[in-house]
Amino acid sequence: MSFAVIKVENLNFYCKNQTVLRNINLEVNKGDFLALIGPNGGGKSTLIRCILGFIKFQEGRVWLWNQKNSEFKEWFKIGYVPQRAGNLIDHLTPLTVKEFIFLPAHWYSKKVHPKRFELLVKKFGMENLLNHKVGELSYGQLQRAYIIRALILEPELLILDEPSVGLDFFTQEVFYHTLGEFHQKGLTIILVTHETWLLTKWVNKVACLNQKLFFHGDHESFCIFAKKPEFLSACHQIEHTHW
Amino acid sequence: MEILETSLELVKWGMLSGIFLGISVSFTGPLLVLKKNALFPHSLTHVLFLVIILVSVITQFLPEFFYYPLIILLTLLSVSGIWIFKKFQALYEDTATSIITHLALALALIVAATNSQYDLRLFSYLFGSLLTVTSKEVYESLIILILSVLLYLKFKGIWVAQTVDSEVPGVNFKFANLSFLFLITLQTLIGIRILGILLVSSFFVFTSVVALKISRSFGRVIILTAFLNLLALIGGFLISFIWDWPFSASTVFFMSLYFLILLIIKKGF
Repeated sequence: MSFAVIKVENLNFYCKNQTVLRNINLEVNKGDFLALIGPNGGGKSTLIRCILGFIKFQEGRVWLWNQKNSEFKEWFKIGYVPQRAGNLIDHLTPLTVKEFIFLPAHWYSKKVHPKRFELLVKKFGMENLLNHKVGELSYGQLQRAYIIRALILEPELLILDEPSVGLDFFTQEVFYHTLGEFHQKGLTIILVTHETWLLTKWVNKVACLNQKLFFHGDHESFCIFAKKPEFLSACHQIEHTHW
Repeated sequence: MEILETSLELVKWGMLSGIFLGISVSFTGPLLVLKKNALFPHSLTHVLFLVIILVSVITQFLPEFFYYPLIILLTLLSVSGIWIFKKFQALYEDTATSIITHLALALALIVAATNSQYDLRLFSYLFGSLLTVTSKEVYESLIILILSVLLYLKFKGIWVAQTVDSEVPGVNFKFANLSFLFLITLQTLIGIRILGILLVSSFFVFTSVVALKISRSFGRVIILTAFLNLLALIGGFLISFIWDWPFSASTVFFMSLYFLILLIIKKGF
């Protein structure tokens, strides 16, 4: 029997008299590599932010490892790469790449295992950049630094919100290949993405969101659903329901 | 030499208080610059100007004991106006800051003009003076320095995180932000006695920017900011002594030389 890492029950979120998320029910099990897809403005990032407790939703419940997210304490179990990561970083930011990667250790009062650090730095090819200022990194390098940071405390769940926007095709390939390796080793991953080519290659679960969840299931079922006309209309139609 | 010794004797409390403040500000100034909020202490000084006048009027009817708690409470309430404008009027932070700054100044002038009873301390607050600083303020600035170190050690991870992330799972920014605001209010309040309302905000910005430009890590930024602040205090004192310039203006002038040096070094290499 699979264990639910995340369980979202009847979640409704309204903002300025408009429905943003409607009756969302979603379960992410241990070992899933879930792609959360949907059109712009469909509520993907909002759902992630509800799950992580950044947004207080009006109705419903979110469970993390069988605990309500408002009471959840073990946040170090989650690695998170936000959308538009790095937009606050500039040339003045006084952090070396190494200090940046070590930030979660301060947040959650946890120790970083040196071997883990070395492994990740090597895996993502950042060995020669550790003493650089984060503001001196290129966009692709900064994204890699964010991923390493998200993985540094050996999380059980990794949430990535459009992590490969702006990366060239080759960097994307290496990036997703590495993610695939971590998934093989048991890491649960939620990936918010527009890159549907990933669906066939790496992920095993798909959730299609456009205010409501139009589809949630395994990859094979999604391939069948994707050929139906409902899929296209679900992805194109953004309803602004007033309440 | 004898005149210098006599002058030093006169300003010893002011210098000592300045040293503690210079080190204390090095924990907050760089963060303000990084948060693109460098004008905040400037706004705070204007709010404090209003609050000091108000409290001077109020404390005529209350014991002296209430003076500082009232100032801090009213200042925190007033600067929350920035947040209210930002949130409920959907304004940019610098626009909200500007509105509160000018509103506070206008109200301060109205209160000052309509009430002749306000405290004479106001004049030293406006322009600052090393001579008016007493041993009491030295102890206060020492306490603020200790508080700065303690709060920095407690919230370092969160304060630094806010310069690179707007949200972190499981990390509550609110209490850390409130502590930061509280600390800056205290630092500004003490700084006003030395540099005056008009110039105290420069203490938060000039040296922090220079340190941020040439340091790689946050630890080094703090050390360098503190060092440059101390150097500016000594330089400002010497300039004011030699040319008989106002101390606060001399200190800010000295700090501006850092940028010139930085420019020359950058051009030179």
